[in-house]
Amino acid sequence: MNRVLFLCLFVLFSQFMLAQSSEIPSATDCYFIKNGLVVIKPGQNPSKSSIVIRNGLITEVGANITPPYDAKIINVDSMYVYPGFIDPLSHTGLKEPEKEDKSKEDKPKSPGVATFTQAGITPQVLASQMINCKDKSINSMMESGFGISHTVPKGYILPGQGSIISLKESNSNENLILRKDISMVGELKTKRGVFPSTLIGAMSRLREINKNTDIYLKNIAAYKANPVGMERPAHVSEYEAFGGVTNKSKPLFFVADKPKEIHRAVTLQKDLGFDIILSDVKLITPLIDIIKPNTPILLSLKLPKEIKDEDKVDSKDSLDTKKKVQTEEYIRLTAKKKESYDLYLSQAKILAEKNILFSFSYMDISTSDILKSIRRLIAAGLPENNALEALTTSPAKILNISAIAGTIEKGKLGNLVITDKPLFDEKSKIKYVIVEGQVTELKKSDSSKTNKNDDKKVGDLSGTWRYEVEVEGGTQYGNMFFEKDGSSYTIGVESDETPSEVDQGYDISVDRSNISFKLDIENEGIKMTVKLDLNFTSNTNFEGTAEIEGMGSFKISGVRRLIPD
Amino acid sequence: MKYIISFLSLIMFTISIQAQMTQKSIKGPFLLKGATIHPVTATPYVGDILIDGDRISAIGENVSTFAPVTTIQCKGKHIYPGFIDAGTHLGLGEIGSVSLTNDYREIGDIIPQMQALTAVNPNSVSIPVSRTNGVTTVFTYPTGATISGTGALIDLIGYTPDQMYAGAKAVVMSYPTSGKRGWWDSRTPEELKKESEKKLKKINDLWDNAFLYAKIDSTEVAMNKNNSDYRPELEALLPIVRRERKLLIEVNKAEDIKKVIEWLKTRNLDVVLTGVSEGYRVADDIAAAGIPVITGPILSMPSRSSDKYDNPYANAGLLMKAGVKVAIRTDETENVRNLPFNAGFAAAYGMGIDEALKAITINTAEIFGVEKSYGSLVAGKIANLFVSDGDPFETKTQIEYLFIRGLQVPMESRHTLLYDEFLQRSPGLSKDTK
Amino acid sequence: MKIKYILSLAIIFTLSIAQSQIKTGDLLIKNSTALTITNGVKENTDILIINGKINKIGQNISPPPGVRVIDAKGMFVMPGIVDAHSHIGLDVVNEATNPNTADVFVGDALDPYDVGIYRALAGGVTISHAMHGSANAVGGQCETIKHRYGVYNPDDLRMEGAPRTIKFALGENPIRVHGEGNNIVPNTRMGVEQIFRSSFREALAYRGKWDDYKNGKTRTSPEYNLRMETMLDILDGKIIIHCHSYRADEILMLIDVLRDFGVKKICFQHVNEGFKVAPELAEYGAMASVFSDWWAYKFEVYYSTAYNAAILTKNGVITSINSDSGELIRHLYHEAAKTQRYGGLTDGEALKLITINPATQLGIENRVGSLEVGKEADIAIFNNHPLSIYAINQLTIVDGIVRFDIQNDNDDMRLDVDPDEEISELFIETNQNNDKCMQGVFEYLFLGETDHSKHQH
Repeated sequence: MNRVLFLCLFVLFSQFMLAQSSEIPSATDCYFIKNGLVVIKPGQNPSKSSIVIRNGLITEVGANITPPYDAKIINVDSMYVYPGFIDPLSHTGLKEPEKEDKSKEDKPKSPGVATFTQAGITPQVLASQMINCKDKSINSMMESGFGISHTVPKGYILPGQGSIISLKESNSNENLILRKDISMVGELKTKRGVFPSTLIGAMSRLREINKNTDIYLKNIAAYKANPVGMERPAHVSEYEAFGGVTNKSKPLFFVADKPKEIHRAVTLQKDLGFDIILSDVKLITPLIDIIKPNTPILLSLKLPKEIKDEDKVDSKDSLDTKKKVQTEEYIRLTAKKKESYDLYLSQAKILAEKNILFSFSYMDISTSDILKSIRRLIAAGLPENNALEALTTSPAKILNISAIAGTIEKGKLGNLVITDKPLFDEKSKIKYVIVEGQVTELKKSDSSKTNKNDDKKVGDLSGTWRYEVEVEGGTQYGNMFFEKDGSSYTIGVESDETPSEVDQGYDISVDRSNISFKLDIENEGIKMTVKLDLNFTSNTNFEGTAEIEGMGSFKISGVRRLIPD
Repeated sequence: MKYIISFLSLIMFTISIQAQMTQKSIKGPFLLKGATIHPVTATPYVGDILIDGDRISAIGENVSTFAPVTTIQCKGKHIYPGFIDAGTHLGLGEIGSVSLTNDYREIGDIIPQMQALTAVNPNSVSIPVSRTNGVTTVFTYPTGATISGTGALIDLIGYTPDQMYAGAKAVVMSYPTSGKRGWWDSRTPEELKKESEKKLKKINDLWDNAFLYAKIDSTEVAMNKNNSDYRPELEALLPIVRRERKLLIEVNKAEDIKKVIEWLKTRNLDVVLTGVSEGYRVADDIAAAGIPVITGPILSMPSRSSDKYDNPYANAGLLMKAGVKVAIRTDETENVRNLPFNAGFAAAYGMGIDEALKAITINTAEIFGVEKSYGSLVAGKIANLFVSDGDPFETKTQIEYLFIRGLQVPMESRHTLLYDEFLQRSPGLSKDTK
Repeated sequence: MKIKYILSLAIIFTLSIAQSQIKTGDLLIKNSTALTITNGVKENTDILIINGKINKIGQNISPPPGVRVIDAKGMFVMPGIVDAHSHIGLDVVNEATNPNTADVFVGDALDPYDVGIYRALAGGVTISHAMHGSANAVGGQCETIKHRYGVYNPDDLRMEGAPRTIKFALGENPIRVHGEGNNIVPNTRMGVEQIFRSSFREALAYRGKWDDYKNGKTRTSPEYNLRMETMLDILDGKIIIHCHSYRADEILMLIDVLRDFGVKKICFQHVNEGFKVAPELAEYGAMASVFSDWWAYKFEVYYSTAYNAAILTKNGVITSINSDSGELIRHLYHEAAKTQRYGGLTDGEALKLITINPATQLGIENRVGSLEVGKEADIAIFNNHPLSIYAINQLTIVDGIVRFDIQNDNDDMRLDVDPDEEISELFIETNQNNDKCMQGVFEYLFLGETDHSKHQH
């Protein structure tokens, strides 16, 4: 009941926030994006043009075109217009499968005889069936400039198949799907406690699956041709699903971040003979020679922590800080670390120099870091032009959707990103995102997401907030009540599990857009302290962590309730 | 053991017959003639040693006696003082993975009252294995807690722990480390720091209480009053507070070593640092503080993956050269026999043979305050010594005679017995196999 | 005839491609005392290395143009040390989830950036047998690696063409993991035997199914089973078994099983009670790779003797001394010398324990393990006789390339530096795990309850 209520609230809230509301009928499906500095495709200079989008498609681009009579005009004079970004690998828009009660989990009799499902190997799982059009990640990727995501299930070894979705607002899950079940995702990540529990087990299992898929398909075909006297081959949905990889109709996006992992992925590729796209890569250039030519690479945007000068004076706990800073060993180790850091930062630059097709992946990065990371790559030598390619034309090529996306050309999807300054400028802010002709104007507070360094204020947060926290075994929901108290707040928290029991927050500290506080809760007789750390990305949203001593840290997020109960 | 047998004189014939059952130690007096004597505290020379009772009664270039004596010709041989291992669990542990055979870890975190000597098993199979490599004395201690108990120096012969006791005890404390305990330790730096601070506070409280307890105790004794309360932990620390007994502090990380040195400035304690695996990083600080060090095992891994490969080999030498008094330990249980090899590696990697020899003899004796009886070949000292066919650090060298407390100890252990039995198995193949 | 010719050409061609990936070098070592292992000690001897192979051994060899000359006057040159049991250079050691994991292959988890490889080189070790752990009765397949520290590609670590090997394990470890851990067979040494017997029998049945399919007796293709395929390869003599073992009875048990199934290639590992059954080992042609002096760390090694290697050697068993430890591997030359204190082996006998004998156990004795013309130039140069406690390795050469040089040793030899690492004098890393035979098992079964610092071999 509460969850339903929450979803409804979320819908209402989104509509309130976005410039366009589906409840008020729109007057037209035609837009005229007027007088922007348009970058038609990477490598071209911005030139003053206008764009007509009708029924979700670009119908005209040019300097001297006149607005159609039925168009809504959006004046973007002196703003920069880019093709909508394409995300070639993420988990955007997927409903997390409900985490089952651990005690109810299907467990094998002994660890060595786990079935595919028990071992977490699920190539038959389809992202297309897990899409939740109301998932917040769709909106937050869109607000970061993306119009299209290739979204894949989470899991182990072979988590399942991916689909390409449009990041537009819709009430239909199906309506978002641009390309259905087009890929497989693979990773040498294993479930603990069952075979295969290590990467060596996973590799041998993949070799077996590959071989048995062929055998399976052969048996099925033979049985179909002539079943007389033949043992009926049992149906195995895992082999059926993996057939798409062995017959090369579905590329395998293989997650492999560092040289050893990449080497393992390439070893499997060689052994098994199918095509892979190396995904979520952090460091590849030392082994670039072993990569099969024309293998696309998706770089992770999770970059090493920035090395700042003040890191050198790390005074905590040293008896003699000055002496420490000067030790020969410290200097030597710091230099070596810096060398490694520089190498990681230069990955995109080197791939660009070598003309290797690459883009980025967005599997576990917070959207606010995306442009920040790309700017760091540019500062480390990646040409802006290549960075834009990696956001637009390259992922289009990798996903085989160049015909409909990646550039601002007649006939393609009406996906645009519009910024107030050149995209990679430190101070640049996204003003509009257009996805299939749906225009979203980003409010100032939202666009500040793209640049966290901005000294932002989020205003008065008093009121009721709806939160959800992802804990072991599922998501918990509840309300938080903020009441302004001078420069700080009083905070009450009420969980849906125990309605009308309000716990008071204490140790509350407010720092710009961050509020942290503590909470004593009691769960089945056990007293625990929860430390909450909330970052208000706007005056209607927060993201953060809830840390429970001895249990770990959980993601928490919340939205402001805009209508009274 | 064939080499033993070949050296046995006629006088001992009857005993060697018996030896096929169980060899027993033999009482002297013994006159060891014509060996190169390595006194450790003086340069080597060719001479004789007279062992009478449990002592070296005479030593010099030419020693003779009219008393009836077993003379052992040692021409071409070498005599060294028995080696002292400054840190082991010998006698306290028997089989590593079988917990009920291990007596070095009691329940509790501050338990100085636990006495290692109580739990020493004089019949531990590892004892003969250790002494036949020339290790005649060891410091054996409990471990695993912040203060795990009181260790004891023991000679590796005796039917009871009391017989084995070599006159020195020391309380062992582990300084709360800020480092990880191993690759599997997933605590964050912050957590580690917090935890070590918590532990340090505990230690500070403890020593505050120990000093106060000692003051109360002295006053009560002066007033001839009965001890008002029995607190076994603090009672066991009395000799430490009164500087009658040493406190051994286990500490390894460079930063932690510096902290201990700071900490000691506020505490009037007689301290030895043990472990000290990163001692070379702060050797000058240790030397300046004038604190002796027991380090080892020398044959161990560098503590950091960025470290030079031979740091553990070189550590003892670097400490010694900085002016620190160094003793070497194996920190072993069943393989205390590797003590001379640990010293040998330290010698090769910068310490030099003479200093490495001191680090397992006289330095150790001095650190434990038993140098009047142990650690060198001097008349009047306890006759813990061995005769070898060469440099005892060299791996191939054979030890031929062993004396502990003046007794000639058989060169026999489980390892030699199994060798004797199985070298040439008789009967050979047990069944007719094709 | 013609086809044959073309085929052999193709083989040569592919071989030469495989070879050319490995960097090799040229060197001339002058005036050394050469401990050849198979041909005695040669004083004042020069060794010429061309393309990573020993080209000439003799006196007054003059250097070909451009070849680096190493003056080894007063030095002792020996073949690179071979360690028949190690776990360095691996990211995964145990797939501990089943009593039989013949299908897994630690060669999939090579870690060329493991600084332990460099530390082994510093101790003169040029080849190690990177093994699966001892959690399972039939463990995974192992990889023989050359210590080409400095290479980035994990493939460059493999000793190309070395025979396949597999880990078996008897006694306490598989019993603890599966019997005590999961309440399945084996919970006793009886159960361990049946794991082998049933695995071999199942493999034969599996082969029968495939034969039926191939002969057209059945039309449904059986499933492919990598585990059974591997068991068949063992039965066909394509894989050398290296079996973790301690007690005499279990050693005899495995010999009986192997005899019943006609398997010949077996090297027992650790084999602490091998000395009790040395005649049986020798008779079967089984080999033994032992610790120099480890014992008493668990009950099954309580009745051990450091004289084990000497007894085995003197009974004609091909014996080696291994490390099974990132620490011991740094001084195997010293571990070998312990057989001189414990059993009086000669210099020649002792040196064989870490050179030609372990090479034989890995099936690479024709390529390495002695200083002979035509062999691969894997060489260690010591300042003293390597069996002396005062020996310090000066230079280690792999395929004619100097991979360790004491004169050019940077303290920090890491190849892979985490850009997010914390650098602090308050150092948080401590004794990297040396003893990995049961690595991975702790996380799997016992994490948080076990004293991890104890030996678990």
